[in-house]
Amino acid sequence: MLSQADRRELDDILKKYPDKRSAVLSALYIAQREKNYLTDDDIRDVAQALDMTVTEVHAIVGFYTLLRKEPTGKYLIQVCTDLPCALRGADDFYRRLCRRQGLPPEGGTTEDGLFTVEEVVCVAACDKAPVAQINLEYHEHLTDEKIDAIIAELREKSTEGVTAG
Amino acid sequence: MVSLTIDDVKIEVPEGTTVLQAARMSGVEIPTLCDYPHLTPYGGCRLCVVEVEGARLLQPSCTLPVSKGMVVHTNTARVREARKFVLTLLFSERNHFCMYCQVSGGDCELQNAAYEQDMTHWPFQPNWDPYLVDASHQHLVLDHNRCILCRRCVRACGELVGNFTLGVKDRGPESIIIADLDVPWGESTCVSCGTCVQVCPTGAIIDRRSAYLGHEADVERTRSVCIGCSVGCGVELITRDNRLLRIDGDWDAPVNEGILCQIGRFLALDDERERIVTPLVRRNGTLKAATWEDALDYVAGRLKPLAGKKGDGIAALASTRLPVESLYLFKQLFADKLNSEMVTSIEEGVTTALSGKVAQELGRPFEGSLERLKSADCVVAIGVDLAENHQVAGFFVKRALPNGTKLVVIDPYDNQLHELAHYALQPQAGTDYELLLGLMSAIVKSGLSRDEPTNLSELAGYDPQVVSQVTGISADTIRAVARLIASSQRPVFVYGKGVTRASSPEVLSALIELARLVGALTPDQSAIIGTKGQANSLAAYMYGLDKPFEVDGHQAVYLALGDDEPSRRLIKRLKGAPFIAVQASYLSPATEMADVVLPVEMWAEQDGYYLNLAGKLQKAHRALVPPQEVRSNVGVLKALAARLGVELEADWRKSLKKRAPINPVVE
Ligand code: SF4
Ligand code: SF4
Ligand code: SF4
Ligand code: FES
Repeated sequence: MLSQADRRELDDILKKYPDKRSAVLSALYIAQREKNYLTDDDIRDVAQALDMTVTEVHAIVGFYTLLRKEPTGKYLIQVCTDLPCALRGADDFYRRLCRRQGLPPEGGTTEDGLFTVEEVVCVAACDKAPVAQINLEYHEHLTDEKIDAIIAELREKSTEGVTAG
Repeated sequence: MVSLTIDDVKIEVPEGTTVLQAARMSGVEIPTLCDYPHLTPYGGCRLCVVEVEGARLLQPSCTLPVSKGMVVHTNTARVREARKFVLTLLFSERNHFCMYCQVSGGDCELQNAAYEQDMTHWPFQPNWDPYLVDASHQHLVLDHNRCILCRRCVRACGELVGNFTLGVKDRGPESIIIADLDVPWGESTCVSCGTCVQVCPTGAIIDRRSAYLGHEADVERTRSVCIGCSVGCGVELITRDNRLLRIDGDWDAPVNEGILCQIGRFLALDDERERIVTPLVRRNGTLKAATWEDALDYVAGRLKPLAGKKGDGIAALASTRLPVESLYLFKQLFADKLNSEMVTSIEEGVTTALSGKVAQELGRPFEGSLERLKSADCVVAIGVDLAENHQVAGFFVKRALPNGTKLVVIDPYDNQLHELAHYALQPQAGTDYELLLGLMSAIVKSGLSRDEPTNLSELAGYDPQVVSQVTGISADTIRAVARLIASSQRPVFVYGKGVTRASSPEVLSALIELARLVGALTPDQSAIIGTKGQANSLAAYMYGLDKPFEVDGHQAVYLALGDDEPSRRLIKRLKGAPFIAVQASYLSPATEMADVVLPVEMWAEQDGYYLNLAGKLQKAHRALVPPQEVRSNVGVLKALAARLGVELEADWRKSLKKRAPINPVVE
């Protein structure tokens, strides 16, 4: 569901377009931002805000791989395992990561719902492999220790957030 | 005009014509798949590619507009090669093992296109992945294995029906047709109009009922009119061996231009009532088969002594689904010849009598043609749910909404159009009149009126502020709606039972006044449309068959039911009538009570005229031969008249126009 703040932000964006539907990708980005995926309710909200039909919006979500419909962790860890990265050990790195997080080789979401690990094809940083993109940030030249430390840190940050909030 | 050359022939076509259309105009056939004459060109399949001199790549002719001096070749080796390649890709993309497909052998546009290119096989491996078959829909099946993603169904559902149920999810080879948010079709917002099945080029969308029952080459098509309601949509009845297989929308029918609703396309075929195949006469308390002679003699014998009696004579009721010819004979026989004062229709004028009264007071018709609805930029629907009945009229409204047409729905009760409306006004029950005057007063005050109000002094008492107290609708909303209606260029007003059911015509008169005020009612054109009731409810009104029905002391009831189903209310009122004769196609609670039952043709078996809600006269045609002992409605009335020694006039046209017309009658 779009929050009040989201709606205000969307209203500002809408001012830039003569035709509301032109803002559909921005609107979906906003709707997905917080939880990393889109629910049917999000899609309905966006459709209503932009005078589009739900089926149309759903079709657009389906078209773009960056728009997700499956429940996803708060942090999306995408590891490139394409050839140049694999040559630098990224595929083994990825598989080990999955195992340590208790996930099957095709990746998935950790039990606490915080992390989703995913194998992707090219994030445009072959020379710095193994590379993981975590939400919008790149982490390069990774080792098992490095990624574990990053995950631990993020996990701590979120649990703090929960206790604090 | 633009001149161009197609296959060495020079032609001139209007600007904006596509190369495909231009080619067709000059008699050149270009194969197509995703293109459909009634849908916006899409350019998805690329089967229609042509060579244009000067262009490096082949161009899709269905989306390419003509330009001056263009030189087009539609049948070069390069084009033919490309067509085969496109077809090869389409065949190999999913499962096209044609021998199992219901459209194979003439009815598949994909297969036909391949044969036209002399293809007997394709060189690629097929995609062996099985795709889903969605059989959750009541009337239709969607087999994704046969789908070529031409998106005709998607466009038809949105552009023609305004329902926007269908879409496509994902991309590339994963693309798939979905309903709503990818829910099973049968659980979606689909309204079962079936337009998608009529446009699907392959066996991907199948009509359950007619599947595998016959190819186009095996069946007959009869152009006719749907008698599901007063819209009067053009249909094609598809029959084989005297069986009705399917109903298609008639693309050439001016009223509906191809689209139908669930009632007209599917429900008309789902009749499970038991047919009456011989006359029946009650003997010793039970209905027994009889000859026509005996049955007609019996009815005539009972009616004859009652002729001319008022109040304790004959009460006669006709269905508004009967053709004009039958209604006219019925009216003559009972009202003019047998002089009964209780001659009416089973609708009892509830959808027309009030409008007739207003037309009479005005001294001229005040309603306009349905065409206006298709080009309206603002629709005001009052007391009518166009998603419930008269659905095709509702589709005209729904499909116009994405183009900016504004919708105002005024209905105190639940109305499915409320959620689509820009303004859904739910005034307190019984305050429609105040609301309409409030709107007028706001229009006059804002200086937006295009005509002088005739009731200026009255309007003074209906300031939006005052009206808001009575109706429960805020003054701001009233002003905003007033502005919206008055600033539209082509507003159209649609009214229905919520208005005509009232005991006084004041709401309707106010609506007419409002329409006049905003320029929607000029002496030669009106943008007011009343939905009426069943197929011939307007004709019934024209013949004066529109008064409330009571059995009272009448000694006999003659019910010309045709293929109609009697309402429970009617049955209740028939109880206790000393003698009941029913002219009907099906057994029903009415025939159960009858002393005599005369079997007649059902809709698909009869020829006859219908007067639609806008006064358009259209002819329905016989597509089926009735069972042997079944007679036409006209035939039965004539035979009865003969036995009663009464002569009936057959020319129904003249007197159809006699009564104060609500609409101009167009033939
Ligand atoms: S039946 Fe009508 S409403 Fe349903 S999906 Fe097909 S076109 Fe759309
Ligand atoms: S279901 Fe039929 S009309 Fe719809 S995209 Fe597939 S082939 Fe085309
Ligand atoms: S709108 Fe009326 S006339 Fe048209 S198809 Fe439906 S029931 Fe038949
Ligand atoms: S018919 Fe032109 S691209 Fe399909």
